[in-house]
Amino acid sequence: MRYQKGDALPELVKDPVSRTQLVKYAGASGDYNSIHYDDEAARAGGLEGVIAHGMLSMGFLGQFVETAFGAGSYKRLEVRFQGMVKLGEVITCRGVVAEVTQENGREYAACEIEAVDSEGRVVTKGCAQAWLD
Amino acid sequence: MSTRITPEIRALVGRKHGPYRVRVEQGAIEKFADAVGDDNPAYRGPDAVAPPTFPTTFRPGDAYPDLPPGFGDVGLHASQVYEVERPIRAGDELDVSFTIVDITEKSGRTGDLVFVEREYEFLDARDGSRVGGGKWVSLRRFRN
Repeated sequence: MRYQKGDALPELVKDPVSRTQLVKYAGASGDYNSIHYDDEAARAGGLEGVIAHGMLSMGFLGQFVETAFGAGSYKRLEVRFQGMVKLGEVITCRGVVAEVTQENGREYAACEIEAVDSEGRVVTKGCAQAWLD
Repeated sequence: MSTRITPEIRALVGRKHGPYRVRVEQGAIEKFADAVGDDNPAYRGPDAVAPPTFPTTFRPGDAYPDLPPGFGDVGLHASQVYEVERPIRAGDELDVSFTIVDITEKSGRTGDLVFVEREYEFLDARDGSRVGGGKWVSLRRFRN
């Protein structure tokens, strides 16, 4: 599909975030911060319980962008972690093409993207640039 | 407010770590995509492309400049940027480095927050060409 300014990208709805997924992500990413698998450690840090790695939600957004534009198409991804993702949460990624522009004769799309939880709260938000060719 | 940023912590600004060599392995890419729950076939096999956030795996193996352990009640992630000049692929060897570019603080609703901003660079180990980079902002929270 040829994206143009104003186009919505196809939504990506992820499976509920499980503790097993967080343990797998800890191992695969090398981020062993215990607030992502140990409830006691999370509570000691002032959280209600285990939360997902912020980078996992950014990973979902990376999947979302490269599902829309193709693997290896991303140029830049920038996000702010605005809310915490708890166990069992279903994350939906959505976005819109803000602009189609060029660099060195190659076209790319600049998109506004966000990951929202099942209550529609934005947990991670930012922008993505992806090559169109 | 009294500052949490002591002269010792302020002195971290400008500190660089690396470069350290990272070998991008097919199996590591596949495990990463599995953990995210992304079954895109392009992230599998000997010619696998790395998913956009794969550089989060480029962690230094040894001690690196950072806030001391136990500074704050909890460590969280504030924001992140990755950008690439070309896709990162299985078989790439990269020289990765990062520099602490700023340390700031503010008082939030839940307590004091201290932010550490780092800039990354990924160079191709074969010819020194720039493959990409990023920005990593973490925070430590002191509860009220």
